[in-house]
Parts: sequence; C-alpha cells; structure tokens
Amino acid sequence: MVKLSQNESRVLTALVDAGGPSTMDELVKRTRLADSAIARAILSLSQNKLVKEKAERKTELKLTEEGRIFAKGGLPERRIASIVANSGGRLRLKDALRQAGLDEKYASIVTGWISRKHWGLIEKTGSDLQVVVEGEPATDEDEQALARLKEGTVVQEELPSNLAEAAQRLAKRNLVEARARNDREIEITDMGREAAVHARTAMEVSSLTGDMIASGQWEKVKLRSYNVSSPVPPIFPGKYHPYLRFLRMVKRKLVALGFRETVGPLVETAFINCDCLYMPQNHPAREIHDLYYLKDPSRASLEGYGDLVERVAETHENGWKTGSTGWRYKFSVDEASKLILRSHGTALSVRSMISKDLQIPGKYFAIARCFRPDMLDRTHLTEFNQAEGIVLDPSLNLRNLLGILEMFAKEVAGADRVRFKPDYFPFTEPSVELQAYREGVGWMEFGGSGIFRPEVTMPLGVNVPVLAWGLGIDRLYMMSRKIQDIRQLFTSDLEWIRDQTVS
Amino acid sequence: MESLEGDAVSIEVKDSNRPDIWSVEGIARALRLQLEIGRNRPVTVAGRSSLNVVVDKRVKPIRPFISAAIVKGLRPSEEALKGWISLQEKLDLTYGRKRKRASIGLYQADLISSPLKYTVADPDKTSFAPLGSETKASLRTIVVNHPKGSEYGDIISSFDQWPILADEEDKILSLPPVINSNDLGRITLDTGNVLVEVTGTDAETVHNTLKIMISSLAERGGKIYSCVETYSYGSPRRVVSPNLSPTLTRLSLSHVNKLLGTNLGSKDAARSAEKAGYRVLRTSGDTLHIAIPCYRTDIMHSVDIIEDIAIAQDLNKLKPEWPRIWTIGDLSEESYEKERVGEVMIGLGYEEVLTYALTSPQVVADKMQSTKQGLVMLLNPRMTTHTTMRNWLLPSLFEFLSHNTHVDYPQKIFEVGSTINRGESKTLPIKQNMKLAAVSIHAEAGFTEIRSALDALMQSTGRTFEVKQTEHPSFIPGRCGTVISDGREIGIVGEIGPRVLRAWGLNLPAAALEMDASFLANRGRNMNG
Repeated sequence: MVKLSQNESRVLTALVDAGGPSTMDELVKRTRLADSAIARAILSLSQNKLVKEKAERKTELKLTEEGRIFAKGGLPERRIASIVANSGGRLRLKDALRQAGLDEKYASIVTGWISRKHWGLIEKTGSDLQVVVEGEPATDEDEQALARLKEGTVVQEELPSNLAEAAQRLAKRNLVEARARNDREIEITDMGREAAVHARTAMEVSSLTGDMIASGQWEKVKLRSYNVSSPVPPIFPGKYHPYLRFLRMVKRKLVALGFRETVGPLVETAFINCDCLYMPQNHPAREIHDLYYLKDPSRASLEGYGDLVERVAETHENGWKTGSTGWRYKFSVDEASKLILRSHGTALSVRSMISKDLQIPGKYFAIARCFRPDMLDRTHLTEFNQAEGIVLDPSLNLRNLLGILEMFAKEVAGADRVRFKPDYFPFTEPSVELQAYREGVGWMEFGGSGIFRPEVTMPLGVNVPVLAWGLGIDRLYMMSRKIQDIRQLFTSDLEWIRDQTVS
Repeated sequence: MESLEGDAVSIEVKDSNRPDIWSVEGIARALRLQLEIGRNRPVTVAGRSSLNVVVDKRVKPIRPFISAAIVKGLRPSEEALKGWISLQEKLDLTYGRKRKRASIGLYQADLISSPLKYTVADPDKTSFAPLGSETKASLRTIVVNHPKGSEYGDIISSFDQWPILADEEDKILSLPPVINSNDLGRITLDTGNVLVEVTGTDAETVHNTLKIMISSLAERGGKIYSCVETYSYGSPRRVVSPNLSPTLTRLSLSHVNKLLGTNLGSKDAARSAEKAGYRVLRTSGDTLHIAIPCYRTDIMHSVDIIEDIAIAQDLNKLKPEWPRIWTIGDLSEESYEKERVGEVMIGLGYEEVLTYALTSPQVVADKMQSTKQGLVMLLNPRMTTHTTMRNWLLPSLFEFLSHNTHVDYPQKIFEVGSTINRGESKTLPIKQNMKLAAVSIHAEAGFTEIRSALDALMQSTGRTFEVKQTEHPSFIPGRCGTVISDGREIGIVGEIGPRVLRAWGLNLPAAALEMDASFLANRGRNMNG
C-alpha cells in the first residue's frame, strides 16, 4: 500500500468527487492547492499508477456572426420552406425570399439545401423558379446542432456523432468556427480509487488538531500511523558557506594561539602595499600584470602619514638609518600614492605596525581578500584569501619563526611532519618556506614567512624583531575537501553548497 | 631540486634576487663552496685590455650607460655556449627588466678594433646583417622584421636616431638592446676571447650585470681584462670596467646569534659564511670582517649575510621554538558582527554564499536597471567580467541566482561583504562598507516575507528602526522602502522589479534587502592606521 502525502490524498479525493477525469483548473478549485503543488502530487501519483494523465486534443465549436443570426431566426432553407408550406405548398422563390426578408443572394443556397434535404422540389417556369413543398419539414440535425451551439461553446468530441457531423456541415457553411484545444486531464485508476478510500479515512484522523485535544475528541479517533521510513520532501536549511566556515575555524585556531585579528581596506595605496614593505618601485610585482591599479580615483594623498613617507623614501633611496645600502634609486611619491587593490595580506601587517594600538609583545593576524590580475583557471583566481600575521617582541629570533610555522602546520593543517626551505621575499630576511607532510597527501608547500627586514620595520617605528608569516589557506581548504579546481571556492553552484556537510 | 634524471639535475632557484646563481657556473660555484671543495678564490681582473670605449653624448637621452670587459683564454663547449646564452637571456629578462634597464652583448673580441664607438645612427641609412641572417638590412628593417626587433624594438623606436655599437673601422657590433651583428656578435666553439658589453639606463644595474656575466665566463677558466669607457657627460667621465673588488663589511657575531636564536662561536660563524661564499678576512672579538664577492649584488644589509649563514647551517638543523610571549587572542569586531548577522540570517533559513568583489558595470548597474555613478573602475582589468569593485551586494546575489534556475526553490541566500564607492576624503578617496544582502526567491516571495526577516534581524540586533516608502530602479514602485535607524538610512528592502528579474533570466518573484552590516560595530578595534 502506497503511503500518500497530504496533498496527494487531497488530489485523489478530489478526483473521486469529480466523478470523472478532471482538468487542472477543476482540481485547483476542488483542492484549493497551488498549481505547482498539484502538479507535484500528480507526478508522484502517476508514478504509483494511482492516476493516469491524458493529454487530449479537442475541437471547440462556436457560432460565427452569421451563425448566430440564423440560430435565432432559423436557417434560410427552413424559413423559405415554412413560408412556402404556409402558402399552400407552392410559391415563387422571389416572393418567398421577399416574405422571409432574405437577400437575393440566398437564392442558390436555399434551393440547394431544400433539394439536398429532400424537403421539396425546385421547378423552373420560364425565367421564374418555383418552390414546391409537401407541408412543413421536420427539424433536422443541422438545426439541432445549431440549437446546441446557440447555448454557447461546444466541444465537438462531446457531441453525438450525428450532431458532430452536422456541426461540421455548418462549419463548411461558415456558420460555425472550429478551434483546436489541448486538454490535460487527470483520470483516477482503479488502484487510485481503492487508495482514495483509505486516503479519505486517513485524512479524517491523520492530523491531531488543537480542537481535538481540547475537546477530548482525540480519545474517540484513531490517529493514522505513518510510514516513518518513507521519503519526505526536502527542506534546505540556512547554513554557513563551507569555505567561510573553514576560514572561521582557522580564525578560531589562531585566536586560541594568542593572535588578535585585524582588518583593513581592500583598496590600498601602493605606499602601504609595496613601499612600506621595501619593494622597490620598479619591482616586477608592481607592474600592471601583477597589481590592479584604479583608474579613477587613481591617487590618494599620503599627507596623513606625515614623516613616514619621508623615512620610507629615504630607506629606498639610501637605507636611511637602517644600516642598509637601500635600493639606490629616486623614490617617487606619486608612484607611492597610486591606488591599487590589496595584492597580499602583508599590507595588513604594515597597517598593524603603524597602528597606534600596536602592542609589544604582540601577535596579530588577518584573513585578507587579495586581488591579482590573473585569468581565472583551475589554479588561479583573480581574488583570493591569504592568512597573514606578525609576532613582535624584543626576544624573537629565527628559531621562534620555525616554532610558529611548526605549530601552524600541526594545529591548523593537521600535518604530521614539517621541513623548512630558504625562500625569498623583498620584505623579509631571513625568509623561510614551510612544507608540511600529511599522510595520504604527501609534502606540500604551505606557507611563506620570514623576519621583516630592518628596512621595513625601522621606518615604521618598530624597533623589535617582527616575525611575519603567511599561510596558503585556499590550498589547505582545497586539500581538506579534495577540491581540484580553485574556482570552486567562489562557486555559484547552489546544489553543491547545499550538499556540503557542516563538518 | 625538481628532478634528477640520469646526468641531468633540474633545480628551482627560489632566490629571484640572486642573479649570480642563475647559471650552471653560478650554481657550481655555490655548491663547491657549500661542500667545501677547493678554496674560495675571489674573481679578479688579470689586466688591462687594449679595448677602449668612446661614448657619444647623443646616446645620453636614449641609453646612457655602457660597461665592457674581455674574457680571454676560453675554450667553450657546446654546453657552455648554451649556458651563457641562457644566463644572458635570464639577466636581460629579469634583472635587466626585459632589456629596458640593461642588456648584454657577447662578441668575438679578436675581430674588433679599438676604440669601440657607442654612438647613434640613422635607422634608415645604416645597415648590418643581424644575428641569424647573412644579408644586410637597415636598422629599421631589422626592428620591423627580426623576431628580436618586434620583441625589444619599442625600447628605442620612438627616438629619431638609434644607438649602435661600432668599432674603429665602423664595423657594426650591435643595435643595443635589440640584436647583435651576425659576424662580430656571434660566439662559437672557436671563440677564445669574448668581449662582453652591457648597455642600459641605470649605471649600477649595467655594472652589476657585467660583473655577473663575466664572473660566469671566468668560472670556465677565462681571464678577465678590463676596458675603459670615456664619456662626454656625467661623472666620472672615465670609467674602468669591471670593478671586481669585493665589498668589505663587518658583522657582529652577537647580532647573528640573536637573529638566528643560535649560539655560534666565531669559528662556526666564519665557516658558515665561507660556505655561503663570503671570505672572512679576520675575526676580532665579536666582529667578523667579511668580503662580499663582487657578483653578490643582492647584499644590502647584514641581515642578508646572516640569512646565508643560517642556510649554510641548514634551516632544518635549527630547533623550532614556539615564542614564549603572552598575548591575548581575539577576533576583530568585524568578525563578531559577521557572526551575529550570520546567526540571525541562518536562523531565518537563509543560506550563506560567497561571491567575487570584483565585477562589472553590466552586473551592478545595467542588469539591475541601476546607475553606474560612483563606481570605482580598474585601470588594468584582465577580464571584461572583472572591471570594477562592486558598490552594492545584491547584484552579486542575483548573478548567483541566475546560475541556479534549475535548482529546487525556494532559494533564500545571503552574503555579508564589502562594497566600494568613491569617497570624499583626500587621504583615501574610497568608501568601503560592510554590507548584508539577502534575497528570497520562490513562487510566493513578496514584501511581507522580507519585511518580516528585516524586523526579526533588527529586533535580534536590538535596533529600533522605521521603514519609509521610497523609489529605487531595481525594485517595484510602491513596494520598496528605505530602512532608517537613528536618523540614518541604513538599507533598502522590497520586491524586485520584473525587468530586473527578466534581465537575470529569473521567472519567479523575488524579495530582497541590503543593509549596512557595520552599523553595530562602531566601537571595535580597527587597524586602519
């Protein structure tokens, strides 16, 4: 026995009540359900062979203007035959037409039909035509059909076959017009009828209402038992986005390790994003294929940074007081004032270091949306996320940097082993690449790090070692979810998002 | 190391700042020193060559600097030639910034008579046979037709006269920085004496490039002879190249140990420095007197040397140590705010989505029937779909929905993200706001539903507010309201207009809201300098 949903029961009961095949419109009226709900119920019912769907082509018949006139006043042949019969059975056609108030053009129509219908004879006397009848002819099928049509639109297939033929004859005389119509009808099957009996009883006792509880009625009815293992309609819960949930998890781990989260603007100045990080102004990473520049507005004023601009400029040019030779070129404030989209999370580390809220000892991190002018493909996004952070204290050294990296690899990435490789960034020295090993995945590059160069920290007014690190969290997430294509992170596939677990 | 196949080792050089190891010779030298094979001998000049260079003042605005040297006594192998060409190309490309800042030429020194003239010539009246061709062609024809011409011709083509290098007999050596001549400028297995010349726009880069190139040649057993360049401008007017003398510096051992967290003695540190390619002249107390080889153009600060000592020690032998400092961790106020808003929206049955902040005016304005005013456009977009920063979030959500018309409805989604608008401030003429946007789309979606969600959100976040009738081109007239709290407009709510829905290929009614999500978070920490 198939268990029916509430809507399926209602549709089935309605079909029984209708006593025959029903259209969608009829079902909407009877069930008071929405079209889409009925359609879903029918789909399921027909899969269970409880209903049959019939799509039928029907012909709708309707009187034309002329047809309506004759439906009211009688067909021309009828009118003439009546007049002739009343005049003794013989009359000149011209006179008969005049008496009937019919135009001369009907002459041939009238004579034609009177002969064809065997109502009388047409005799020719000189140039005159005489109509001869033996009494008033009986009402014929054409007239019956006309009478039916006078009531309104008629479906041809619903007429008895003789009237349907008559209607077609009328159609040929342009008294009736025919229009095709597609009708979807739902018909209940024998199995369906049987199920409906159960459905009706089940409905009566299926829902426990407030009234039933209050009135004690519940004691008198038997609540229908449900098939608790049958499938139910899906609902889609509100959920966090899977990748954003992962980022929240990373944040929680970093907070647990004593890091304070910072945020900053997506649109940066080249000054903060590059110059403060001791990236020379002709550095390839500052070219237009590595950095998004803004068209308009294209510049910001650096006045708010005060002496910092001068210190950074001098550090680039000659090392300032940092003990460095500097990059030895002419620093351009205009170049530094260009507006760009943040290209790496390290820009946020600069913001942390120049913030008046900076604390030493301190640990800061940010998960930063960053932008680079790459074409989208399996391994590149034009915007992506970087986890980035700094640790500041007079006591810090390279072994502490390795300690931080090792902790991240184990705590955040669940790595079994780590190893370190030399790396290069313009803003750190020494620079270290972290590689993490995970059973089943192998060695993977997991992050870049280093100790900020004095050329970076001193102009910013920070005179302690600053350990800086960045983690490739996009890749880490892809690894944990076995995602091959990085574009999946920003997927617009709602089904995929709905399918993801909250684990 | 990338791979090891038979006799061939393929390695990745991560140090983009170390042009001295962009060659087989450079890597061999670094390995030899690291493995302590043989003595660490400095590169030196064997003597003065007979070749001088005279610099015409007309090259000054085009490519003002030249530096040359001759390496003698080479017996190049096929491999060596290939290696030098590849080093030359790599230096031209990266260190020379695609030959703009510096470019290298190698020539058969024996075929060239002194003095060498670095001068200019008429591109249409001067001709020579470029590398790879037997026939002479005008400079302009070369720039148009030769593959290197189309690659590098732009560097000089805007000038009326172009730089050339010619010898005393007016034989043309090259058209810098485009191409060498086919006879003088092609070195072969028989070339024992090679002239190396670098021209460019930055004197230091030009000199450094020469040093790196000839050090590499000298590694193959050649001896280096200097040249004299005479300028008619700038200072000094007379330059002897190359200058291979090392840079002398002092390194504090305690600084090394402090930065690395080690406890190295002076002998340990000195040995590591030698392995890294420095020469330690002597140690006195805490101080190491160090000679930096001439080809180490990357050394700017003692930290650069200290890193090399750490690498020579092997990073993996240093013991990692979690820093013993106490700090209190915390999320940013923005993160808390996102969580608060997220909790309510998820409770209301909305699914969180993540979309790009970079988009296009078609998405944020055209399809929404809205205006392009205040959009912040990129100067150098890579894709037509990513040309501007979004100034509101709802368009991204509708773009998302347009990809999901085959997926079960109802669809209720939200996103919390940043929007970018033009701002008034001179310091940063950009306004960034954190916004919440939400859309509900299904057969019965309508104003009441989204307004109820708004009420729930405001009630849950403890804000009083009112909604006032407003007009917005994306919404149905008469079914759109502005959300006002504390006298400020903080959002918009309503039913989306059918024209917008059609533009996105959506066939169901949709109700939406977009609000300021940061309006609760004004008391938080913010590292905006």
